[in-house]
Amino acid sequence: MKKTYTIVAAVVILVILAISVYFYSNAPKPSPKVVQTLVLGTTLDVTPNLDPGQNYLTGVLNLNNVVFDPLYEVPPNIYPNAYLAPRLAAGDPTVSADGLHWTIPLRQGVKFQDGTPCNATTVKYSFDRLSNLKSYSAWLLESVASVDVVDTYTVRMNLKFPNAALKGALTMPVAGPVSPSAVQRMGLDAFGKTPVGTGPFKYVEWVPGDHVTLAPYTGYWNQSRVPKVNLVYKIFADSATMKLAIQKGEIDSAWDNIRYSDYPSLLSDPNIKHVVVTEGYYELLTLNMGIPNSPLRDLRVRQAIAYSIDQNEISQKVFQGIYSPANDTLFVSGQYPKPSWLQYKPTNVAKAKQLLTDAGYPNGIDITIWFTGVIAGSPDVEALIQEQLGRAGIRAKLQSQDTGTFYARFRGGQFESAVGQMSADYLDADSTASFIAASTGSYSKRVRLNDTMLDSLVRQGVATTDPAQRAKIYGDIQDRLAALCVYVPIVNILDLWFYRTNVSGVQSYYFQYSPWWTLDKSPTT
Amino acid sequence: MRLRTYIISRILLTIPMIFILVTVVFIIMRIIPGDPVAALFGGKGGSEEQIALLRHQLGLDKPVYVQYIEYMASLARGDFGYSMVRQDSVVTELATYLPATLELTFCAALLAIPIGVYCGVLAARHAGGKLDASIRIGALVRWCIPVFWFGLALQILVVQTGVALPISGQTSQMEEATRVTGMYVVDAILSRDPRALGDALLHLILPVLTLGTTMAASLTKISRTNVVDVLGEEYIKVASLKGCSEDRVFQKHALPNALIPILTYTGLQVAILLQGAVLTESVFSWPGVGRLLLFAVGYRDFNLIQGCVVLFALLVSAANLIVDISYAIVDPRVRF
Amino acid sequence: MLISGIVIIASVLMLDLCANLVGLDPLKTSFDVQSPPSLGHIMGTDQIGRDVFSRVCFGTTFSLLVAFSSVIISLGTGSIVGAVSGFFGGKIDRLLSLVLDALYALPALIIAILISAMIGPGVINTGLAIAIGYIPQYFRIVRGIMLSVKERPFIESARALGAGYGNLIFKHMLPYAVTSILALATLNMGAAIVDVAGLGFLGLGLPPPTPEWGTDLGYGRDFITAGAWWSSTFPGLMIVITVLGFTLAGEGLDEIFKMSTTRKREMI
Repeated sequence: MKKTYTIVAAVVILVILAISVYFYSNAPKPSPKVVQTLVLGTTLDVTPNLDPGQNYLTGVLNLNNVVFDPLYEVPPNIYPNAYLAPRLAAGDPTVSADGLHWTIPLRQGVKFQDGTPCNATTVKYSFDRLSNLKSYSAWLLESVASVDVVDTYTVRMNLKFPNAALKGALTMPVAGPVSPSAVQRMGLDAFGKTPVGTGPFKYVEWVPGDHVTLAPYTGYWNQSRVPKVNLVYKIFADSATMKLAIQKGEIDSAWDNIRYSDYPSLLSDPNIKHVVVTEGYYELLTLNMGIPNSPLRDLRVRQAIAYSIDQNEISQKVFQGIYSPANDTLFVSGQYPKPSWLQYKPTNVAKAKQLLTDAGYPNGIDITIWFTGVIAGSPDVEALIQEQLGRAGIRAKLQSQDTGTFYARFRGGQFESAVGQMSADYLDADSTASFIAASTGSYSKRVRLNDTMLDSLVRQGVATTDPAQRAKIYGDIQDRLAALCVYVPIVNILDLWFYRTNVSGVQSYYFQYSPWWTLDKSPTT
Repeated sequence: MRLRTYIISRILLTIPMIFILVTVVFIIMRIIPGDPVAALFGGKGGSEEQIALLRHQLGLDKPVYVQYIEYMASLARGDFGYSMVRQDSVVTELATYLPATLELTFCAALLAIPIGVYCGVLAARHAGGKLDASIRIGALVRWCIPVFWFGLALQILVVQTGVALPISGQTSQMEEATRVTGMYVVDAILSRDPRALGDALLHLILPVLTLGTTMAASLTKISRTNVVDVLGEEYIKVASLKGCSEDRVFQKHALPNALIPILTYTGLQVAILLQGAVLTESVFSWPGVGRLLLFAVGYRDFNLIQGCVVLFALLVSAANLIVDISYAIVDPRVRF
Repeated sequence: MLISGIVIIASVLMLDLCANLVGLDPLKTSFDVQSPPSLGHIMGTDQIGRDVFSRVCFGTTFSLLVAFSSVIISLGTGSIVGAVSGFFGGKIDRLLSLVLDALYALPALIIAILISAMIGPGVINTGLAIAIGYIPQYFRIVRGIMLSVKERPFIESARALGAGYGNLIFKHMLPYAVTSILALATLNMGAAIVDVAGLGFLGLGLPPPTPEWGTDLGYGRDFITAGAWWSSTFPGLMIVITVLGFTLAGEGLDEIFKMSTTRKREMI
């Protein structure tokens, strides 16, 4: 027996030696790189594909913001009421007197990344394509009935109804023209993998679930924005792995979705810097007025909830003060801001109890709060809310569900109350007002919000393009929403964009309008 | 019966089993409200028409029994359907993530089997003594430690002591070898990249320790029990009465007879191994089918969930089949 | 072994009881977020300032409750189905065996994950989800015992005297299974506790903010890299200790019953 063991051991050792020798004699020499590659880490996946007409996820919107040129763009600093400068357009739109026709001049001499020219015909083609695709993101442009080619570099958009918010919608990448020849040449599937636009970056490859590679488009019309590096959008399965990767220097930047629990260790790391990105995300508690026999149907009960929730405590305990309390009831950053929620501050538990007694509930009430794991701070925010409501005699039962069930029931308005996130789709106050304030909005329908005053205000808001008038109108909407107490704002959800010290050109931006063409990196020592 | 008949009948028996499993899972998933389409759209995006259109494209608006029949038919063709959340065929997804799980479970078994069996045999050899007692206690305690907590504890240890071991992932981003099989140790060897090989091996250490010691703990107990039972048999007494030395009795008579049931039991452990793999992959962010299943469950991706379940069932059946067949080859008494 | 197991289980329960009596609060948050073990909080605080020690103590109730309900469900269902299957034999037996063998092919935790994700969190829900995976084990044991006892003379005579099926199964045959079931059930308590924790770790178990060892472990893991080791360590230790208790008790029972059945065999 002992002999067998010795022989086996000797054979194993010899095999290991042989493999090692094979290795070291055949190891490839590392080849020198030409253009620098900057690796941007994120947990935001790309699905179903990169086609701007088929996609609505934040990650893809950001990618397409640098591969396509929307007609107008949102500047990095959106406060207050920022001016949306022309990008692919050559100037501001001329709006007809009845508000139904928007004439937009286009920049001349722009070429797609495949070399074909971009003009009014290709712009019209891109918009028509959106309506034909009947896609996910086409609803953004649902106010547009048709697009006409006026001349080679002018288009006219014919609207179904006056919509002052259209300019805001035209900053979305979905409104960036695509190359018709590329679509025809590649077919829908292949085009979805590496679509072709006019922007400063072009797609090189997409490995689903892993990464997207972009390279500078040297023929970009704005030569001052031609990128200096290749960009790799590296997708991580979770934030913790990504955090480790940037700490070890395996990636150059952790762009989005680092968990706030990881912030402290990154903030104290000497090799890592950051900027604060205004994402325009809010966390809120939605109260449903439409559940039969629910105490939430009574305004006083809802007010009691408003007075019980201590935003500061939540901000400090759950988010370490990084996410600040939100007072915005319209949930749009930078557009006609008015902190209408302050009327419920400071937190007043005694008043809440009084309101409940007035409403006929001297012994408190029982409500259910739904939530799902993807909401920031779950389940700690909900635990805090439960505790705070408990102080006023409101016994809240927490119910968590997986994402699929949550959204299915949420959309159906079957919840009594729910913690969720809200953001504007594009930089115009109407983008949320039409959803949550107008009775025809999908959110309003879920909570049975039907207020004639709000309906009238929302209609007025899109009918006029005068900024002073709009400021007054949306201020009134904010006040009314706060009075009705259906959407209880909690915190502003920020994002910190972390990058290693050898990366430059990182700037703060709003929502999905990330200006990645400014990025550069110096070689690491 | 003849061996060939036995093998064929065993393989055929697998089919109704998979059928039943898929049916059960199908029923479970269709009972409850909540569907993957809503998850994709989130709280806000898209109109009701968009959602209805997508549901129609995916065939989710057909009656349940129609969906069932169509699904079973496509399964028979080898088509596991389309994963809506990953935007890919389920088979592709499974093929992408299976290698990582195989790498993990194979290495864990490689660690667990020698250690577990050796410890068990050693304990049985010195049954009743101090060595036996310490081995038994060690195995028992390790068995009581949940696999995910063991992994977490290792991670905590590494972080607190500052040892330079990776605590998550299968590879580092920068040292990744070109993917050929998906098992990065193999891929690193194939592309002759020593740094990638070292990187892949380093990443394997903690997960394999976690999963491997879990398996080793139960193997120790089984081995010990089997050897002790065999040692109590009549023919062992006869052998020692005949004058064989204790060592010879052990090595020539007890061990071979005990090893067969031990090894067959190892095969049956595949189910437990897969279960442990799911949890280990979660702890270490290991990109295997365990994580894929958890992801699919979170998004109610029916096809992907069903695909994972079928895959697990196939793996367990395959292992059981191999065990039964090898047992039948070795022991003719078994084929009835 | 049995004694040591029982001692451990008893101590764990005592700890939970004392924590309840003393008035510790596992749900109360504080501004003392994520702080290491100290005099005020001997096991530290979690990510929103709740006392880990309180949560660990109160977690006992929930873990044991869910584990116990799952064992009862799987024991009851598995035994009855196994008894029916073994007793009647024939087509029923073949069908039931086929279905339960199929179920046996899937790891119990996977089944629990699927069911738990579908029916949602809750004590009964989680108990049910875990139970389903263990039914085949009881099925097999009881069925096996049924098959061996079925042909014994005293069964035939009882039948001849006109005993009904229910009477036969429950009064005459099942008692033979009691010892095996009992030992298995105790061991399964340990496994069920681990499963509850596993589900909680994956975010599927009991609804927040219920203190449950696995769930707390799961939330604590985000903070490991930040150096907060206590939120994951202590709940885990409790799991190990409790499971150890049940395993020792189960193995002890097993040994006792084995010795008594050996004696019985010798007598017959």
